[in-house]
Amino acid sequence: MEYTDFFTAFINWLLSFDKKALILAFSAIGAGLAMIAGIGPGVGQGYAAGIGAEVTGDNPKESKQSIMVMLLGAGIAETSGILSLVIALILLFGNPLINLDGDKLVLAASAIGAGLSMIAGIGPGIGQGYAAGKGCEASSKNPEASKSSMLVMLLGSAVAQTSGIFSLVIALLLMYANPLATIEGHQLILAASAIAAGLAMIAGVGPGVGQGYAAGKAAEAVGINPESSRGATLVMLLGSAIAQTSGVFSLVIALLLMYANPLVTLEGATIILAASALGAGFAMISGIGPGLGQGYAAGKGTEAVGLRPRLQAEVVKTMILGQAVAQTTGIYGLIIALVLLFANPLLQLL
Amino acid sequence: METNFGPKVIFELPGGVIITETVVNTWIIMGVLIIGALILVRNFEKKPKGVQNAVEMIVDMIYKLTEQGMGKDKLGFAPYVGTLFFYLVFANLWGLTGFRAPTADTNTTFALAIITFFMIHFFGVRKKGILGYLKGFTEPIPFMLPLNIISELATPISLAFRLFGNIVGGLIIMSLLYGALAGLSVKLGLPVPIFEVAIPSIFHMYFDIFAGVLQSFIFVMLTMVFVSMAMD
Repeated sequence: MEYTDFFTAFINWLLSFDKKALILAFSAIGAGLAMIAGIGPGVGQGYAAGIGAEVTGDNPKESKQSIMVMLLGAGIAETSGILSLVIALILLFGNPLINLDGDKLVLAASAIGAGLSMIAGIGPGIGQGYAAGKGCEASSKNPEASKSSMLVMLLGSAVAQTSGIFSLVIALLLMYANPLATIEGHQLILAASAIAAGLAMIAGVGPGVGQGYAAGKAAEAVGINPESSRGATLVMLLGSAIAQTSGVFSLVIALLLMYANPLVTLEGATIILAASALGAGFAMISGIGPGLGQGYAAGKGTEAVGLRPRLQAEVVKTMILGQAVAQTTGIYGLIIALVLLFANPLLQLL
Repeated sequence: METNFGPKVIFELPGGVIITETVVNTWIIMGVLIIGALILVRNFEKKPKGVQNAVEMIVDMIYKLTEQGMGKDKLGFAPYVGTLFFYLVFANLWGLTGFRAPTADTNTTFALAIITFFMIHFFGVRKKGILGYLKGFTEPIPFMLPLNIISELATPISLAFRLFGNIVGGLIIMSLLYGALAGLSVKLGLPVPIFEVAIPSIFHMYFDIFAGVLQSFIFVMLTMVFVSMAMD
């Protein structure tokens, strides 16, 4: 019982603060968490810059065009860093949560949830940076196809941004249109749900990196064999769409936690229900793996089609079969999250 | 600010059948597509000219896409592929008209994904026979049976949620953006809400046009690939 006492003491300690002070304090943590996304653009742009330096050394005459491609791609890779910065600045300078009506614990937890959600930005940052590097390399190796490889790179990077956008949606919802704050009672469960929604979105790291890898491979394939551009783009888009699956599952769990939270209607120990929300959020992080792996498959599939456009049907078949197997652990995570939310076995054990 | 992003209920039929925005907008899109098709195919001649040229080009494009996605022997699927693609493009771009996109509702996306699911298994059984179809679940090794079943069941789920998630994500971001811009206009005391004119157009480009067309394409491509894989 000592531990429960500790927990109650902690919650009571939190509740002893003034509403505004508590929200502001948690917003400080949320702003810091959001900035973790900066890992992504840092890695990605560094890779792109490295490739830029390499191609300048290899082919100084044509380097101007390829450096431009690299800078353009690196600029796109910055997007998730900027989005995180915006969320952090909103939390610091224009905090909307302090004006909302609702339970202070829920609102404070929402600030943390918004910050956690933005961490997914690591994925698009790394992935788009890889794509930028590959685009730069392709442009240097085959300056004539520079434009088409750059277009494929941009298209793939736009796709790789998807999970970052999903995270932004959840963060903005938590801050500006918080559905949890309007529910009466159940403060601990709702606070845990806000944090869990943010946790679930971290899975976006996987699809972001994976789709960026596919985008890079597509740019490379088009650079080597411009004739294959259509097939390579198609396979890249198909593969990336499947690599998005775990990001979409996370979005669904986050939206469920916010708009159709089943835990608040259940009878049972509050602590178990609140912890179940957190557990569901943690389970969804498993999506990082499928996203990464499926993206790798998409990239290799694109590469293969670039080299042998005639074998497209066979390549796609093998790629999709493998990606379906790679989804398995992500689906296990989803099943556990859904069991925790809708058919919680722990409640009956008490 | 609005915190409910679900479809609004328009009216209720006797017997408790609820008619939401999604259903009404789907009816409108169905009407537009049917009437459009009837008008466009009038007065076709042996030698194509004008509108007929454009229509033939679109039909050719759909057949080419089907051939690329499914192979020459499955061109019979082209009419369904074309219908699905046009419905999805219209439905996803419907947000641009200011109404709610029908695909921002799991009921629509699941209906479409379930059609795909039944197509996969119906055509799989028809092509390979019931035994050959069941044997497919134990390949490459019998140990894979549970994995294969899970991944077959996951196919329609991920298909439906992929479309829904992308469209509803765009819808939420756009409505938050309009809310924020309206708030800005009011705060600055502007009589004319100028912020809401130009700024959202870039976001509409990405969230409605880019994501909408891309997701239509992806849904159609995945349907083709899954069905043709079940048959090969």
